[in-house]
Amino acid sequence: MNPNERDTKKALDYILAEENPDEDVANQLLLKVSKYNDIFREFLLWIDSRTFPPQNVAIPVKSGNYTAKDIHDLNPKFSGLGVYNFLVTLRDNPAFAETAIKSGFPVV
Amino acid sequence: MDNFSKAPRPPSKHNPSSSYDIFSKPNSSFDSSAIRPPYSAWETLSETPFAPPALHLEDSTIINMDNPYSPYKLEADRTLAKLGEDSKACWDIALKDYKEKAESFHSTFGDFDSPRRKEAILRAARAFEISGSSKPSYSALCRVFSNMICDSMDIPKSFRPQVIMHDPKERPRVSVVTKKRVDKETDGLHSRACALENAPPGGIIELFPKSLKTKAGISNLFQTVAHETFHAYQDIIAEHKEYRINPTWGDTKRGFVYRHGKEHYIESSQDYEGYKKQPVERSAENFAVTITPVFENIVRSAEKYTHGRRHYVGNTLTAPQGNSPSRPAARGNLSPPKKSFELDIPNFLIKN
Repeated sequence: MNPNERDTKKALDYILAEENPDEDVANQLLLKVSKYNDIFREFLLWIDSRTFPPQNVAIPVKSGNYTAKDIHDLNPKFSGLGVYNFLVTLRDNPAFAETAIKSGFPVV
Repeated sequence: MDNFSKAPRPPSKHNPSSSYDIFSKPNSSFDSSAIRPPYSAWETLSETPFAPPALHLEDSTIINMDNPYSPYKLEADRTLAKLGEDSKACWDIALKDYKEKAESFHSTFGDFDSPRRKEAILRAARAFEISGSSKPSYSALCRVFSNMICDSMDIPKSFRPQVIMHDPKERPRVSVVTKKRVDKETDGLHSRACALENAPPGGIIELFPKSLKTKAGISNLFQTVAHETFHAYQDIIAEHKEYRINPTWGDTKRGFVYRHGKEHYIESSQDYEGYKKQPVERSAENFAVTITPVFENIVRSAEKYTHGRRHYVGNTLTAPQGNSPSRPAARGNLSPPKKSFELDIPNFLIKN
């Protein structure tokens, strides 16, 4: 098993065990969180330590730079996976993400 | 053995007069066609290959999914499994469905001349009356709105969700129905109410309003009601209760999309964007945004109606006949005070 496969399996095991037992959904969530290497590396560190590491990835958007810890402070309801998935959203779809931040992450 | 051997047996093709022995070893040259009954219809049936007929799922296709062994259901499952791989197709079906339902609501309650709209205004006016103040009972209004949506969708009363509204000042930490944690961002939940005995089949909608003092807060509350009622409708479709409710709802594609959405649900805490973009949530969100202005308009009309009626009823009940100069009746004007909108007020309401 090469390092990439090992990391992917580690993340998938975490998602299946602690986030969502549905394999389809777990694969979908894994696909998103592993889209960018820097975010995925930090997510793997988070799985080990369960704390947001000091050398954070910061995603620059119009309203400022957001790190994983910032997102977690804004919405403590997010799990670790949710925080790092939101970093991917910030990078891919900053308009949607900033609107969500401004409106306080409404959930119905 | 003797009795059995005496029983009448079908004649063999090779030896019509002999009887065959069931205890003998299987013979490779045995011809099963020899023992077939002499049904004339058998010839036709045996030529038909045993396979379900090709199924072309249309929007109006009705399939009884209660029978898991039905060849139609197996074929439907295969067709729908292909559909499930295509998220765009799923969204197209959900989009079409929410638009149909929103149009139905608009045509039922949006038309100013519609008797259903006038009836809804009267029902909403009751929410102002029972509160006893200038503000309505929002809990009653939410129930009226949810029932209006169910009316427009032809959901029978036994399958309608029950609406519970919590006080904004006493926001619970745990959902009464599901024992789920209620976060400060949560506006409402629709659940199957498994934690309660005698749970209604339509489930329970729990509302957690943040504020009822601002216009935006009230609008948000109504949107939440519409959103959660649409989820209740999706649950009915997903669980195939529609076949027992309304045969015209037997749309297997739509049922599959909602069932797939419920089974592969992404929580907002796991992926906020994925949560917001899944078809079950997007369709409910769009439905709520589309129909809430109609209900807000009805509430405004109900408010005007209630205040106008109170004034009129007050005059008719308390004013002495033509003796008080401060009353319209005293000036010889027996007509009711002019209202800012036109509505046919039923006589029984005016007299009482």
